[in-house]
Amino acid sequence: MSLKSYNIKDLSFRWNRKADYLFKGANIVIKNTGIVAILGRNGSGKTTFLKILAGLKRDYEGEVFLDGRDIRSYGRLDLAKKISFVEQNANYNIPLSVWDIVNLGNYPYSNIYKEDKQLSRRTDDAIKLLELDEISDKPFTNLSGGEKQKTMIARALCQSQNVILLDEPTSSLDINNRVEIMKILEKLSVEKGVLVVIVSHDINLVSKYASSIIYASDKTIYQSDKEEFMTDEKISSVFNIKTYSSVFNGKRIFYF
Amino acid sequence: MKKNFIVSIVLLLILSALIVISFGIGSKFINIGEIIDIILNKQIFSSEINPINKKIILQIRLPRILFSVIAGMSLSISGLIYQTILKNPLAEPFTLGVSSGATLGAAIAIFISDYFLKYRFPIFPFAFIGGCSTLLILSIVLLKRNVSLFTLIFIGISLSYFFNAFLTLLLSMLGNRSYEVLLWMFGSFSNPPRIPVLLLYFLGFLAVFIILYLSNRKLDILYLSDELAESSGININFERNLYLALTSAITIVTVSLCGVIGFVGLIIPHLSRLLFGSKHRDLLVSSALLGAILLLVSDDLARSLLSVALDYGKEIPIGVITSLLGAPFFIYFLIKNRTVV
Repeated sequence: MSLKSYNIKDLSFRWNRKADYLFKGANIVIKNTGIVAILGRNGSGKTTFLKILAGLKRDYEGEVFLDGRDIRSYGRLDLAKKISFVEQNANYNIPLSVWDIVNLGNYPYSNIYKEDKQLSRRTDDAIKLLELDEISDKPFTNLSGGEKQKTMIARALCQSQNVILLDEPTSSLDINNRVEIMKILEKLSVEKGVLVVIVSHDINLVSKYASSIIYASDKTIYQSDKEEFMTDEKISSVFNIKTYSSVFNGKRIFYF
Repeated sequence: MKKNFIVSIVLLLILSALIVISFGIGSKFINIGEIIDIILNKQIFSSEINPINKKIILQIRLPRILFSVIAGMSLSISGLIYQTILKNPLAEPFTLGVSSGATLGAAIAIFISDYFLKYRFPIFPFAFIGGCSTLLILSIVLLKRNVSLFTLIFIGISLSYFFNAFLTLLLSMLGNRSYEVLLWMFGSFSNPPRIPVLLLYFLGFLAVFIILYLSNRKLDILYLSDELAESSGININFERNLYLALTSAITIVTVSLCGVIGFVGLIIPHLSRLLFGSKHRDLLVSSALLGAILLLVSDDLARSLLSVALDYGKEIPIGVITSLLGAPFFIYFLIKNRTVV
């Protein structure tokens, strides 16, 4: 289990030269010690921050280091082998089977000379990890929301088991599937040592499963321990809403 | 995968058989043994080879058959790639307006020849320049900044309208003589280029096909959203522009040589998907073969039907046959298999 980390120095982002900063001067260190959750109100720059971590947005100011190296200095394929991304709302249609979609994650490793067998094994492993064996031949179009999300996570894992970034992975799912997805992510993080970062709006789910918090507020981005963040005062000030909470099984639960 | 391989071989055999049969179609009857002997340049089935028959086979029928086969392959591959890249099941090779540009070029050639000159300009270079200038406009738009796929399609459609407006103007000025432009627009294989030109055409198609085939994984990844594709390690703008440029190029050449043959580029990719699933490795091969088969059969019908029925000397435009033949077939398939697009 190698240590993976982001080291972010003085990160600022604005959409163009005339616009106000979406966030400014963020200094954050992310390590693979449990699920890292990004919280914040709509429009506070959560998703933008995640895309910067993914290397998808490169017009930021400041520095982002992944394992000690500037993220912008990685080649495309090298970066793809390091980081995989799961976007919000996998509810679009891809006319391929589950296995074929997961297999797309092999792209950075493939070349025209390479025997497909080796790559197929990677695909099978990812399928097994997400327990998708039984539906692996099904067309993606016919899947339920939860199955689709799991397929996209499997694709991401096939691509990289170093860092996986997920934009609201549970937002369109029922309670059942939300918990299942979070348990999978927890397992990946704890057992496989994957650096898991999620953007989420579900404070109680985060309270239960995440181990550290990054939150966007007051035009910048902060980092916090979970215990420190999960208090009525903090949540109220970040989300500008009155909350009540109680502790159940050692985890704080919030009511709005 | 194995099943798809076998079906591809079957399609290839059907195409080969159809090619041999097509050599037998035409106003002069030549028996099949003699045809095979002429093609192979040996004497196996027939005692002697009639030199006139040889001339008919090699100089009249061979170019035409090659022409329709390559055009069929080109148009269906273009349609397939357009549908994938534009993420639109209704896309076809003419969606972005290159055919309108080419048609306008052809109309200008005919117009200038008729009004100002005593002799006829060759249509090909004019159509080619017309198509290329459309592609140039599109590339300027594409390279300038990130345009969304919808914007791209809208620009393509606007360009089509723009060129069609000029075309309509020219047609109205040509009056009675506009018939020639119209006939060209329907598409025809009746004036095939010479064999060396066809070979060049084929090599061009083959080069594009090989590049696409080697990129089949990337093409599959284009089913994902742009961001996911980008995070998979693909330079999405570069790949998209490259594939659009390559397929537009073969479309322009095809349209400039044989006019606008509709429907092939739209339905053949869908038919391939119904038969082979959606992985590009299978789709590229099957679309090429099915496209070739459809245009070959359509052209066979075009040159035999009317001469049989009317002895009228003119052929049914090929586009009429592809649509008459293709539409009912396609609708049948759509109803039979509900999950298409």
